[in-house]
Amino acid sequence: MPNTTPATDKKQRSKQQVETPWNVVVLNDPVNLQGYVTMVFKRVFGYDQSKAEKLMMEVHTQGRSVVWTGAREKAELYVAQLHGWQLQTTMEKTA
Amino acid sequence: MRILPTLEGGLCILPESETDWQELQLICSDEERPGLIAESLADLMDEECEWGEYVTPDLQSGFEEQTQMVAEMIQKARSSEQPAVFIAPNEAEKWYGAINQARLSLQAGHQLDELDELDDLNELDDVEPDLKSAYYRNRFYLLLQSMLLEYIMEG
Repeated sequence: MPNTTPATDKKQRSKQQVETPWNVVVLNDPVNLQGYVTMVFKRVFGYDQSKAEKLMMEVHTQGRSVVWTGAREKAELYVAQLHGWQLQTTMEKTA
Repeated sequence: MRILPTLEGGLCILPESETDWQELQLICSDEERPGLIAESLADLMDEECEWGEYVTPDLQSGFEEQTQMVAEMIQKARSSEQPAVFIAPNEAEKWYGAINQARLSLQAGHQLDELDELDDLNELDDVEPDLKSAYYRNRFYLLLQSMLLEYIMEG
């Protein structure tokens, strides 16, 4: 006997959705300072100065940067943290 | 207004006129509504994430906490015997966040980045008073954020 209701079944993610790697993508905006964005990448992901600056410059010059790739649930956790720092962030499935 | 680093690693803001205090207090009123920023961030996520249900309320309460703390500190400092706002190192992130909310709101309401392309500040003379005021407030907030970042947060 299933222990979930149809409603919760609907919410459950398929195995494929969970296993496909997801990208955490930070978007450029006209407000956040470059030094601040670099600092946030270091704090949230534990990146060193060089990697954090490289990703920040990608955001600045290309309008977006994939800052992390991995499991969906962890990606959601990172996006929530980056939103807490007020960075424009989204996530997308890897190609 | 003067802004100085303190020996304990924080910042001290010394307003020198009524206008200075008003400028500081505008930080909190320029933030239209903390929920608005949380909702605009949720718009970046697909519906399947149910961001609005599970994440937005926490973000909103975090943003409200930032604004409330800054408003209370300014009010308390203003009524003290030695009127100065002391930002301790452990308060810097909330200050930065509250100011960021103000700047995001100003940007959303006025598209200030277009004014950043002006070659000469004299060109601002032709700009509407509301927009000019928003531009100068944004510049002041940017300076304060830069100092918070340089003297406290990056350390």
